[in-house]
Amino acid sequence: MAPVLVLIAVGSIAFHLLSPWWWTPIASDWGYIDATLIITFWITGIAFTAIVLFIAYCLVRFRHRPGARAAYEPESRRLEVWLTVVTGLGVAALLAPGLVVWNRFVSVPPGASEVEVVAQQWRWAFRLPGADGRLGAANIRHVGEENPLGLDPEDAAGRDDVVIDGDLHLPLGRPVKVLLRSVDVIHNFYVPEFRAKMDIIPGTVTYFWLTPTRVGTFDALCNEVCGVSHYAMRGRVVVDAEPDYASWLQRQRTFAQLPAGRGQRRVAAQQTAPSDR
Amino acid sequence: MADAQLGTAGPLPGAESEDVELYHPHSWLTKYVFSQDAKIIAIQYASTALAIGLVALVLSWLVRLQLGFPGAISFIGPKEYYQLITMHGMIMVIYLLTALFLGGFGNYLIPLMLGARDMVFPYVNMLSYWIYLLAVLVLVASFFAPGGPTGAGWTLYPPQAILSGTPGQEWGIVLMLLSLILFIIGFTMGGVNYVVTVLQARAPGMTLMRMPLTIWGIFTATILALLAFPALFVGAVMMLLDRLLGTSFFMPAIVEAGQRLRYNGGSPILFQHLFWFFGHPEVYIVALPAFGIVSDLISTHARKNIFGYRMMVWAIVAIGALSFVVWAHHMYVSGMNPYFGFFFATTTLVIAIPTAIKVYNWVLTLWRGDIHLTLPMLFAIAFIVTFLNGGLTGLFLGNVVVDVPLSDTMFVVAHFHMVMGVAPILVIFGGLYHWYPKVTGRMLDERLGQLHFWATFLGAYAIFFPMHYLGLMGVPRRYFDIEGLSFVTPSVATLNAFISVVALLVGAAQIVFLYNLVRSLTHGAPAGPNPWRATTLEWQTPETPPPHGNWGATPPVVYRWAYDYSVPGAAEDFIPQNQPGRAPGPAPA
Amino acid sequence: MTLVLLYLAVLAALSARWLSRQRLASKPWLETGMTLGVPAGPHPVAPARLGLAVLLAAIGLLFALLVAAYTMRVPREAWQTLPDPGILWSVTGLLALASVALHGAVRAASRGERDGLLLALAAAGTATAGFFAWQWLAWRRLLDLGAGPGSDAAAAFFYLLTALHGLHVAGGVAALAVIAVRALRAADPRDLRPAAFLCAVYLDALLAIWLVLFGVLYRTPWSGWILALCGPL
Repeated sequence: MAPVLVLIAVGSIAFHLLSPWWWTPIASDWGYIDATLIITFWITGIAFTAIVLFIAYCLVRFRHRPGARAAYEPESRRLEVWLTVVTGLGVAALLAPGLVVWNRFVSVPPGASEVEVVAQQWRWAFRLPGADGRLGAANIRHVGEENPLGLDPEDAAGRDDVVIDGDLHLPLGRPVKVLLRSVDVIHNFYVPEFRAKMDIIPGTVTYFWLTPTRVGTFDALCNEVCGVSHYAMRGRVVVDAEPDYASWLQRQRTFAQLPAGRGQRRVAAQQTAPSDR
Repeated sequence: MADAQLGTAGPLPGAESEDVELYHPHSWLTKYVFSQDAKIIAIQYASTALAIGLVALVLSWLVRLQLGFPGAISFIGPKEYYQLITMHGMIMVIYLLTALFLGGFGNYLIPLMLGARDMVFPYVNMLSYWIYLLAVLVLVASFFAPGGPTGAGWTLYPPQAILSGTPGQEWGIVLMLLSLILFIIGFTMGGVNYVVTVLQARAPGMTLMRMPLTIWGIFTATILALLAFPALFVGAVMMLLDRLLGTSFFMPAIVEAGQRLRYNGGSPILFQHLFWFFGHPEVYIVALPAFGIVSDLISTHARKNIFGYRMMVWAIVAIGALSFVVWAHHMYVSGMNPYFGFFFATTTLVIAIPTAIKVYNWVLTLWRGDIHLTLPMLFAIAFIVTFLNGGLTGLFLGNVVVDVPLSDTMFVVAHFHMVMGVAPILVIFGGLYHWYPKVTGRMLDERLGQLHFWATFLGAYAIFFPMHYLGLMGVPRRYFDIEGLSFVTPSVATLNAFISVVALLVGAAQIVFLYNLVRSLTHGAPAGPNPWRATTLEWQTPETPPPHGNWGATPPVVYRWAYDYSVPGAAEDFIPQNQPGRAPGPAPA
Repeated sequence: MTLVLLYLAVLAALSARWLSRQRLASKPWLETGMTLGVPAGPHPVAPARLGLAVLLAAIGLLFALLVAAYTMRVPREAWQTLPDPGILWSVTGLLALASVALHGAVRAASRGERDGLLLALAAAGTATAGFFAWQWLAWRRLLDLGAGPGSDAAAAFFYLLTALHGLHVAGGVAALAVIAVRALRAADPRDLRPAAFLCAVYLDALLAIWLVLFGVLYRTPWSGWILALCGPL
């Protein structure tokens, strides 16, 4: 047993260091999360190795021999207090950075622009606020074949909203607040390279924020089981540098240009092509 | 819930009654089938749990075949895959682990370890088992219902659980919820019994601080279960009404496939709160009995008293109390008020401290012990290693911000399998190897046991340790197929295939164990009353296996705590709890 | 959620009080022999009573959770706005009557009066039958007023809460029937006192739970108290 335990301790460390399976290169400013993770790996790794090796030592040193007898030792107050304090310190060392980073995670910077992700079984759609920088009202009442996002045709703020049925593009280096909405069941918007994610609860709007830090094309996946095609509910997020982003945005259509948005208010339909603030 | 309780409260043989006549069953049927003997009920619970557990094992094989060799098994499509993972999870957590620890070990050990003749309400105890069996049958029926069992994931999150996009929407989910409701009713009957028996039927001299930690663990877990299951009950009833009567407890306005459904205004988060208000204590409902049993296994087979008994008791009580204020750590990314994260991360990491103390004390019990590497001891050590591993990865997931990238990935799958799958099951095995001689009078076969142990321990570690790293990479859980994800490297397929092959082998080793269980009934070496030379009362019964009523004419009297091993000056290296006389140990202050 | 946490806190306080008397800080390895321990005589509390207490603790939490779910699910402005079927006060009265009759049965049993016991049990049975009839009538009226289970959350909770509560009352009635049958046969009616007492306590608890549910669903003199305790966390 003892050699096997040593093997487990050493083998686990070796696997950790040598295996090719590790996180994907980060593409957002949530390096803080990675840093907290590394701290956690260190503290827990030390605890694991120390305890497993200690057990292995005990098994060799105190294995039954004929005539041997165990020591009689009901407790040791000092040792127990000491171990409790050390554990407490270890836990505090994990918790403190964790809470600091969480505080960052829940505080959206004031300058963040909004992007809306709308989920339904089993596809993604996206919406940008358009020239006025505000997302128009939406309600599930308005969801229909021509208006899959359920935008309110009466709301002027929604007329210039950019409705995207394809890949979502994000500008490099600018904070975005991702607003999440679902028209049917619970989903979760997850881009592994961004690290951040959040469930999407029908009936409410949830959010998280990030700043993309690397240009590239990333898979977005649903990360909360949402029915039989959950595994196939995938999308793509493209992070563009400024000129590419602007030219992509030029090509997108506003809600007013879509069949559902055409109608009462002609004025808004003449809006010039949107540009992000 | 357990209303029948009242109807039968009158004619029960009081535990304090010395009338042994009451314990003579009158026919074969009342002796072996409708038995009111807690030991028979324990065997019935354990056999049923192991049988349904075997189903869960086969389901996990199929899941692993799909993950390791996508498309190789033609009859597993996405629909079947989601049904497989859902039923595997639900069976393992509720119908196997909860039932086996409390219904199985609890029923067998509570009266015997406490020196009681039986549970205080034997009739209710019998009823508890039969309702559990009914719950299992309803669950099994869902496999044969039109549309098959539910594929909503074991967490059964609405709205998807009752919508047509999820397999088993017609019958599966309804039977699942009914089965859970039955299980809870049956469990409540048993649970009331366990609590009252521990409180009132202890032998003279058995103070709380003389109880073996096994009983402390089962007792505390039962109280947790009595207080946690009502939340699941409420959630299940409400979801059933949403599904059958069109109420909108959990169902907001929904457009499904272009159709506006009649639901309006419900709160999916409400279900999650109810589910996890049950779900987190549930982890400790499984873990606390395992903690208790493993303490006794280590102490007995290291011939040394459990180190820091008082601290162990306090830790069990503290963990039990804290487990009710950590539930929302399953919901960090659920869209609940993000400021709850601060509170729940703190409580969750605080619970790590009493848990760590327990690990230290197990390890310190080995220190300067006289370690016999028997099969129960091997399983106990394997438990420490896997529980330590799973507990430490819990520090990743409990620390709110670290959970963000990892939640709902394979990291979570690896974590909870290690901590509440592999670790408690290793304890179950250790417990079965340890108490089988008392239950049957025969030892389990040692060589088959060694084979079973090494295959299970090393195999399980090889399955779940590398799996964490898939999650770290971002491989999501509950994915039928990860084909085409750009961040997943090709080598992941190799690792998945490796894990699947090992999983098949580990599963095969369990068949060896079942064979051993059955074969040793007739072929096992005779065990004698106390093969492990243990101190606790169950090993001191006048007959082995103990008959109904346990103690013959005179029930035992307790003179000492449960851990008088290797007491200096004593002739033997153990002194049974019912042996009178002073311990020659250090004099009291 | 406040109510649930309060409920758990009360349970925790009771357990802590009990635990504090169990000498959890003693060093059991130093205390050998029969010097201390569980008294050999009859237990201060009968097992059945303790069992009922444990069961009621679980049932109480069940309803506390339901009330918490009500406060989380039903918008504040829709609290207590259900159409009133007008007979819920009679429902309450009948349940109270059943409870009083059962306490009468306990007294009769302890005096050994078989007839008095049977009469009181019959009265309690009649009162609970009336409770069910009136409760059913309340459902019918509410349905007639257009408040079906699918109509809105408050109505759905009305049916859920009254149905679960009614099922628990039905359990009490089953116990009552068993006691009545045994009262007919028993040699000494005094033997039935403990069973009748448990049944009475059980019904008292269900009456208390009903008063809370009533106060949550409708405007009653004590609603203010309950709502103050039920605020969202």
